Amino acid sequence: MSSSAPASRRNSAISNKSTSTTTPDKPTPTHLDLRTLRYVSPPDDNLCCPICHSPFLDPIQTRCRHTFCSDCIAEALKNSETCPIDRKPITDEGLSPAPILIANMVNDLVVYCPNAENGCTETVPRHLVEGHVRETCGWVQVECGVGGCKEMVRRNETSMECLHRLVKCEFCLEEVRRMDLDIHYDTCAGISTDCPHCLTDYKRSDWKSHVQSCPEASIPCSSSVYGCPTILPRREMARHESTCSFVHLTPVFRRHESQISELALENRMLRRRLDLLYPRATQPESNTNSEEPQGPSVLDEQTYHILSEQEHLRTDLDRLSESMVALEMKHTMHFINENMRVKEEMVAMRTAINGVRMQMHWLLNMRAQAPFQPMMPMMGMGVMQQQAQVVAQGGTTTQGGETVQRRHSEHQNVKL
Amino acid sequence: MAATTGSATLLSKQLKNLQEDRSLSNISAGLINDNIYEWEVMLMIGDDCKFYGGGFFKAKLTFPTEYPLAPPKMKFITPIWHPNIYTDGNVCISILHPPEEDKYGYERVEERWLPIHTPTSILLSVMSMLSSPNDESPANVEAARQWRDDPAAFKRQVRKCVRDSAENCWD
Repeated sequence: MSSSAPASRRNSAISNKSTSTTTPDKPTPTHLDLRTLRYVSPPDDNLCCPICHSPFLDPIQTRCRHTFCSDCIAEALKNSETCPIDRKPITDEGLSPAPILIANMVNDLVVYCPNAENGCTETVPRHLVEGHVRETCGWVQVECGVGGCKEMVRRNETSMECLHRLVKCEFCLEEVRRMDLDIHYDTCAGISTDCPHCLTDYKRSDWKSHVQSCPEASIPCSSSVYGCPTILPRREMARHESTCSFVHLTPVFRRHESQISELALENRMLRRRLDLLYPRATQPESNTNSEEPQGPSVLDEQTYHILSEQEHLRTDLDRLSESMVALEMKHTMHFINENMRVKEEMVAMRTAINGVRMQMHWLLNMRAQAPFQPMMPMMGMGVMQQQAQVVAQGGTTTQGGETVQRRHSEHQNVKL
Repeated sequence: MAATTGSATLLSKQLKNLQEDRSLSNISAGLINDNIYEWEVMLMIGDDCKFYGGGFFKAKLTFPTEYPLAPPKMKFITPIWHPNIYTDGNVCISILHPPEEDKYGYERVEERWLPIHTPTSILLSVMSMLSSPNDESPANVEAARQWRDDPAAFKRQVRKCVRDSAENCWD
């Protein structure tokens, strides 16, 4: 519904212009997309549709007085029923043909013929271009028509004889179409040409075989692959080859070549076997890193075995070092304990010895000085030390006098 | 079919205009794989643009066959930190949204796509968007928050991508 109404208006708008103008909607045998036309001079921006940026085709004016191509505005209204410039709501009813002045201005713009690429140099006002293509353009394919021929041919070639007639090539006597004759001449085997080397005439069909044997044709020395740079006409080549050192060495070169290729083959075989025996260093890494479920090959299994072995060893080592540390700790503790006990014992022994020494001193003094009294201070000191010893050993404290006496009595039992 | 060839003709004309326009020398445009519907454009941002001056940003414009009735899509290929550009490079700008789409209600219909827009007008809008981000409908929420709350950090981040873009623009 959106396109039919503008179309009818468009027809009426165009009919005012001229009879030769045809609407794009009307199917013509040479249908032309007017949007693809090239303009001789760049069109004025004011005459261009804001949507397609080409000069208006069947200009249509909206109620808000903006002008568009009829097709462009119809398409735009399908998307959104607002003016594409100011977004004022419009419908198909709001559209009317643009002023005839605008239509005339865009129709009078001069365009190149659509067949310009093929060679037509005509430029015509836009509204005449369809007529030009339909009636007069010499580069349009039309029916041949000569003698009822139905083949297509360019219009500017129709006035001549029918180009589809078969004619006989005067050189090779083959039958070709009249229009293909020029192309045929380029390849015709019957036409004779000059050999570029010996300047003799040869038929094109014979020429190829002649070049293979032409004595004047320049050919490279037969040892050119081994480095001889000489290029001489064929007739002089035999003389050159009898003296060419490359030719003499050719058997040697050949033998070396074959030997090298044999060695290369052998080298390849050996490398393959080497790869099999010693997998490349990168292989195990890639296997362990990307744990892809590939088919377990021999190499993979070996690698896996080695790796697991290594893992076992590592855990063993860890366990051993752990137990060693524990053992060391235990040992140290034991040592310290033992040491303390011994130390304490040593202290006890030392004090005991001290006590004994004091008693001995006392006794010696006693013996040296018979009178008892003068020794009292000495004895008192000894008793004090004795008492301290007793306290340290957890013994009971007693009176000084008693201690002295007890020591007296004890004295007989102690062995020195 | 007619629409397809029409849009192709229009696009090739607009590409030619863009390439020949002397006033747009800071935009260079070309086709990707000779496809008239895929353009690669290089935006060379002038020093007058806040934060982004000196940047060389490469972007890709993808036109639909309905063009100019439907808007193209624009995506930055060069990494760029901007509140209105998604982290994958897609540009979120109201004139590239078709008028009927009204998902979030942030944009008024007047700001949406019109068939009279051209690649040139789109690129000019995007370049003006670079200097003045719109944080009402951010595409990159993190960048929008940073732009509002911590302009110094935002500037640092942008300057970094400007430097990177200048280094990598000819790769």
